[in-house]
Formats: sequence, C-alpha cells, structure tokens
Amino acid sequence: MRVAARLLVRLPVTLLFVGLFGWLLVRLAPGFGVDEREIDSRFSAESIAALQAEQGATAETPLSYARRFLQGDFGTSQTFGNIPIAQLIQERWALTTTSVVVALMAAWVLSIVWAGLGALWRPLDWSGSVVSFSLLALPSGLVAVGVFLIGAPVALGIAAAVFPVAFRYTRQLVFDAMSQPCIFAAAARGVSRISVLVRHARALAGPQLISLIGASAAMAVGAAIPMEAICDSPGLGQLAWKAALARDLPTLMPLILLIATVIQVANIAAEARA
Amino acid sequence: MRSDPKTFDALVAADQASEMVTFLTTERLLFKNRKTQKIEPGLAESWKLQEQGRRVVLELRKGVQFSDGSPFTASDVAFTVRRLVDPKLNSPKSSAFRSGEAVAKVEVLTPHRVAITFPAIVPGIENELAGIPIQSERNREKAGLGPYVVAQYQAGSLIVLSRNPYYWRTEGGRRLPKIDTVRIAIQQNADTEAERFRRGEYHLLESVDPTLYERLERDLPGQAHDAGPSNDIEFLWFNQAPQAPVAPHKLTWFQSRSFRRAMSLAIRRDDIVRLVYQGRATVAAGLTPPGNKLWYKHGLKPHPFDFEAAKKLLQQDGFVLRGDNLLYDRQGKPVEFSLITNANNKARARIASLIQQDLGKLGIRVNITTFDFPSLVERIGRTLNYEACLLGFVNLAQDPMSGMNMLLSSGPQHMWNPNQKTPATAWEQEIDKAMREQASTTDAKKRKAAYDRVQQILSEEAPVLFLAHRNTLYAASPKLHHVLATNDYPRLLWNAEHLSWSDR
Repeated sequence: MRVAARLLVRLPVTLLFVGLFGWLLVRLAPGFGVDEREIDSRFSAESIAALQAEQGATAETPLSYARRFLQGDFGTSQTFGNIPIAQLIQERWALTTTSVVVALMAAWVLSIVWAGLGALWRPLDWSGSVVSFSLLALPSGLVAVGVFLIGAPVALGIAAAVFPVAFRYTRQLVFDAMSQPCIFAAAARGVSRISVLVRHARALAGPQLISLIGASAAMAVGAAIPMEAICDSPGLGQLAWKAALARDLPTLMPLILLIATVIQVANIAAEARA
Repeated sequence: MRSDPKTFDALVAADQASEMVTFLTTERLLFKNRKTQKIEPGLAESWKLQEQGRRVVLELRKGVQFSDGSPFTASDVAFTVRRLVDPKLNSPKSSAFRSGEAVAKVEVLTPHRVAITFPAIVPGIENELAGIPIQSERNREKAGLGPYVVAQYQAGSLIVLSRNPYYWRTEGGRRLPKIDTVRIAIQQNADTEAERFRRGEYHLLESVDPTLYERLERDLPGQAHDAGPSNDIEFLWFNQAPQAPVAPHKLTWFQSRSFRRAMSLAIRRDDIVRLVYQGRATVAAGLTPPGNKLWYKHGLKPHPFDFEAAKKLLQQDGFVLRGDNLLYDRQGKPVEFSLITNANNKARARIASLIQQDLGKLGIRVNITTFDFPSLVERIGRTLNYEACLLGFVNLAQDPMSGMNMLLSSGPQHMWNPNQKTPATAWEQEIDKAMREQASTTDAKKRKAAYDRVQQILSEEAPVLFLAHRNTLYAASPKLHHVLATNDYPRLLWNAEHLSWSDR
C-alpha cells in the first residue's frame, strides 16, 4: 500500500517535471522546427514559406500536447516515415525490455557469485575488482563498439555497464556481512566458511541487495540508449537516440516519459525493499 | 540507406531515402538511362512536342497494370499532374509545371493518349517528364507501377520491398524484376555498414567512405569499386548578405572579389583530394561535375594553388601581414572568421581543417565550428548568422533549370546573398540574365552557351569556392550481378529490375 501511495504521489510530479523539462530542452534547441528542405534548391521562396508555415502549425503548446497525450494520441513521427508513434513504440519495446532484463540478471548473478567467492578466496576478489574498475574506466561507447564488433547481443553491453557498480556494492555488502559478530560466532562454532556465506551472510545482505537491483534498473535503461544506437539494435534506445538527433519532439516525448516512469517505479520499489 | 524515408508519397519525396524507395516503387512516363544520360520511352511509348515545346502529347503503353492489378490509363497521368500542381502538396517536382499562378493543364484524349500543356516553355521537357512518378487514381497509397512494392517498413532499421507481380518490363520474355525481395537497411553509421558488408549481412553499399573503401578493397578484393567522379560537390562560401548579423568590416572582406579569389588561390585542392579522399576525388572547377556530359563546361580550369598570387591580391585590397604573423585589413582589424559546417561528416571536418591550415599561412585565423544539420540549416537558411560555410551538394541535378533558385539573385538558395530584390552586383545581374536566357528557349545550343557563361562568371567572381567532386565508391557482393554504377542517383539501383543474384 505504501508503495502504491508513493507511486501515486511521486510519479505524476516526476512526469510533469521531466515532461516539461524535456519539452523545453528540445523546443529551445537550435534548429528546432527547421526543415532541411529549406536549403533544397528545388523549392521556391513560396514553397519554403509554406514549409515554414507548416512547421509553425505543428508546434504545439505543452498543454495541448498533454491533453492529446492523455487521450492516448501520441501523434506521428516526423523522422520515421510519418507513422504513428504508438506503433513505433509497440514494435520496439519488447527488444529493449528483453535486453535490459537479461543484462540485469547477468550482471547481478555474476556480481553476487564473484563477490561471494571473492570473500572466500582473495585472488578472485582482486580479479573482480580489476575487471569492475576496468569496465568503469571504459567509455560506454567503446564497450558498445566492442560488443558490435564481436557480434554479441546488446544485453552484454548493458550488463558491462551495470556490472562494475553491482560488483562494488555486492562486494561491500558481503564483506560487511562477513565481519558481523554473529558470523564470527558461527565460524567459531565450526560452521564452514561456505555455509556461513550461503546461510548467514546472504540473510544479512539480501534485502539491501534487492533494493540495489531495483536502483540499477534505472542505470540499465540509461545504458540501453547508446548501446542500441551504436550496436544497431532496433529498440527504444535507438529510437530515442535518432529522435533526439533529429529534434523529433513528438517521438521523443513519449519515450522520455516512458523512461522516467520505469526509473521512478524501479526507484520506489528499491526504496520499499530497503 | 543513411536515414528513414520521410514519406512514401513519390510526389512529395525530397530527401534521398524517400527518393530511393519511391524510385523503386513507381514508374515514370519517360525513362532516363543513367548510363547513357539519354531519355528513353517509359510508360509513354512515344511523345511529340508541340507549340514550341509548351505542349507534349504522349502515347501511353497499353496493357500496363498497377501492383494491385488495376489497369494504367491516361486518367492516372491526369490525376498525377493535377495532384502535382496542387499548391497544398508543395511538391519539389512541380517547378516546371507551375509558373506564378498558372499551372500545367492536362487533357485525356483517349484512354492511352494524354496531352500536357505547360504554363511556359519548359527547356528539357523530357528530363522533367522522366522525373515525375505516376500514381494510381484509384489506389494512390497502395498501388504502384515500379518493379517493387513496400512489403514491410520497420522504422529506423529496415524496409523490405517485394516484387510487383504486374511490373510491365520484361527481359527475354520473362517479367522483371529478377530479384524477388530487396531488403534496404537503414544504417546511419558508415563503419557499422562496412562491417556488416564484410560479414556478408549486406550485399550492396551505395556509398562508401574513402577510408573504408581502402579497407574493403584490401579485405575483400574485387568487391569495392570506384565509378569515377560523382555528381556530389564540396564547396565553401562567404556570407555576403548585407542584412546578416556579421561585423561590417568582415562583410566588406567577403564582398571583395580579390579577397574571395585570394582565399581560393590559397587552398590546396590537391591536398583535399589526396588526404581527405585518398585520391578518390576530382578537383572541382565549377558547380557542374565532369560526369555531366551535356552541361559541363570543357576548358574551365579549377583555381590553382598560388600562394604568391593570393598574397598579391590581398595586398592590393589593403591587407598587410604584420610581425605577429597575422593579417590585418585596411582598418587594422585582424583577419579572422568562423567557418561552420555540419557535424558527423568526417570528410568535411578534415577539409575544414586543411583550409584552416592553408589560410593560416596567409596570416588568417579560421575558427571551425560544427553544428548538427538542423542548426546549420537554421543559420544558413533563416538567421544568416554565420561568416563562412563549408557544405556539399549530393546528386546535383543534370539540367541547369534545377539550379534556378540557387543561381538567380532573387532565389532563396542563392547562398551567399539570398532573396535579393535587385541584383547586388553587376556580375549577379549578368548571371540572372544568362539563367533566364537558358530558361526561355528550347534551343540546346543557346542554352548551353548561356549556362557556360554562368559557369565562367562563377569561376571569375568566386562567390563559391568549389573544392572537389568525390568519386562514386561502392561495394557489391560478387553474388549480385548486373550492377551498373553511375554518378546519377540512384547510383546503383536505377536498373534494379535487371539485377540478379546467384548463390555460387
């Protein structure tokens, strides 16, 4: 109930703010409302005036846009063959969702196993730290290029973006849990280190880990945008990237709101677990 | 293909992607053979010019069907022309069919004979007719006459075309096209595109960057091809518009013929060809590329690199090089300007950098600024808030008629000083006169002479510094046959119906 209440209060405020901010950012960007055909020598002065008038007529106010949006009419894309934006999102959401979910699972399973085993065997801990720091230092664009060149799925690139943070947090939680007095007591009673880790440390670190997984969902969604754009994966991230470059406000707005919703829901869920 | 088609309506198509798709899904009354640059019969088997070229009577091919099986008749031609001249449609293909308020009239004489009367004399009328895609009166959006129909469109990634079962062209008694399905990938990134070609996922690359070309040629021998100078051109111009928000002393430099010529003489075009295009380009002498057999002015020489001559011209204009190695104008102001160009174009960025180096040797400081394309268009087309611009044209149309809005001083695309009420200079007045002259006659010799004069004036006055025509570089899988590359768009798919595929 508390989660639902938080969502009801926070989500509309976030969407209003993000929506307005996104709107202003695109609306005020240089080149907004400019048609490339204006420098096409086949168009006469009258034709260019007509093009400019057309662009002016399609520039909506945030209020009229919000009204249309709430009625489920997202409009049509100016960049992608004039097709309905709802259709564009419908065609692409499954690919991005799959990539993000698979990446989150892969990154967290690997982090938990690696950090857990690292607590038992030092060389594994060091190697995990080296890998996570290396991935943290690499620009995500470069990781994406690598993923594309080896022909790996986009999920691998997103997982590579989430893993360093996931590993650092997991490692810290496992080490904190392993230094609790009750863990020392269990070890003193002769319980094996693996049993201590699996039974006791898991119980101590588990709830915090779950809340962190929720928070990292936001990171994965953010990473999906450049990964899909560079790896040429036709998901929502690629759509958002292309729409932003083309100043395609009608296409960009529902995507901004969708991403904001996912991030907000994930954060509230994480807080609830914490 | 680099971007999504903005429309699938062939009469509205203006961007390259839309033009490409609609070229494959529609058919025209006359056909322009890209290889010979000659006009051949298309949907019209024959045609006759009347009233000194103002009226054309076309005999249409019988038994032709749209992709939905409905017959093609003169009514479809009439429908297309009426739609084309509708001012609400704002078609980029309508200029020859409109003259002020007057528009072309179309008469259906019989189901297979149609007459079009133009509002004014149209030089190169056949070329115009070869550019108008005919649409179905009954089923405009779904039915086409081209070799392919759009079967699937996945925005941002893919367009699948499947063969039109009713396509009228045949070869050896067999109905074309030979390939059943064409998949057009929408790929913004040239490196990704080349990599996919290398992996065998793509089979035809319409345009390849020179650096990638070298790599493809090395890795996949015989699959990368150079078809010679294209119809694309790279050029630079200075903002001469008096209403532009440019410092008055800079406007004075840009309006000086000596200054512009000095800039042109100081640029090493050979270096641009060698370093930017790896030698796969031609130094540009003028606007018209050498591949344009009809309109290229033979004997027009590119501005040579002549550093001393450039210095002399600047001295004559009162510019002096001081001890700090900077050039100063008559008023003692340092010569410095910004050069804008579009971002995400590696070749253009390198050209800008070479120009910066070349002009730096004269003591001129050039500041390069890149903008994304919409911002650049806003500056050069609306606010005029720039000093110099480096840009390019792709696929310059063959006939000078298409350059009217650019070359006439009153034109909106007269880049260096657009929308003039009266010509600002005597030489622009001369260009206006010659352009109007070539537009008012159907006599090919007179038209050529007038357009040659325009090219000569552009070379002498240097309002635009023409730099290079890059070569048409493409890559084709050895499994794809009958690829005949040309320098006119669509460079590789103009004969798509004849392309064939073999797995061996």
